[in-house]
Amino acid sequence: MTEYRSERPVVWAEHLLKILIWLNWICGAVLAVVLVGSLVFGDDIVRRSATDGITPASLGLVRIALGIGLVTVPLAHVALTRLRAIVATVRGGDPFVAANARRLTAIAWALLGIMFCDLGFGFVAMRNDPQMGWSFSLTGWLAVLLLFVLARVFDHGTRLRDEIEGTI
Amino acid sequence: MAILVTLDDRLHDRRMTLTELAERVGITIANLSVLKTGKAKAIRLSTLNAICAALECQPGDLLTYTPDDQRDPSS
Repeated sequence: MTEYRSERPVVWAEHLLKILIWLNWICGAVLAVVLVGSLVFGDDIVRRSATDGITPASLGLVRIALGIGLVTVPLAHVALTRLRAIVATVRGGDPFVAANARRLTAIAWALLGIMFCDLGFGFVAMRNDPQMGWSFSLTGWLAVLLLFVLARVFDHGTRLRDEIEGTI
Repeated sequence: MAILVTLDDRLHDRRMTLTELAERVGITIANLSVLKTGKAKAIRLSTLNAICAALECQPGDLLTYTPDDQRDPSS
């Protein structure tokens, strides 16, 4: 009964991550469609929305923002799939393996990439329109740092465990 | 591994079974088997202490060093 209770959040996390992986790709597809649409129908958009303040320059910045959004999709995929693999090892009962240290490092790098994309988006948002809404995320950068440290701790821990294994 | 655990010999000297030793030292038979068959990578001093106390022997009575090139291949 206790095992069942403790395993439920892990199962939910696995399902949630599966959904998030799909949502990430759907968002990527939507961004790609909008970006292609803005390239194909750019002139029409500027002509029809001139009264809303849309200029070729602002449309260009929106395209850059969409491009940045697209770049984050594979990065988020790396982070989500690695996290799902870690959760699977938790469910399997043996999360302290070297592979998880490598996965955490991959997540840290992916998140670092996402944070740089966020900075790029911030640069575009500030130049374009304050309504785009962006604020510096200190939490995200701290999460990157935390993940890199955690990956090292995990790596060290798994190596220690390997040493202890076989000790009577 | 050039270090050999001669636990079997000491058990034979004491007319003791692995099960009895396991009960006395509080280590599982499976772990003692690992130790006996030389598959263990390391031994804790506390384990050595408990085995020495149970078998009334010295650590040197349980461990021997035989370089790999001098070891009898049949052993």
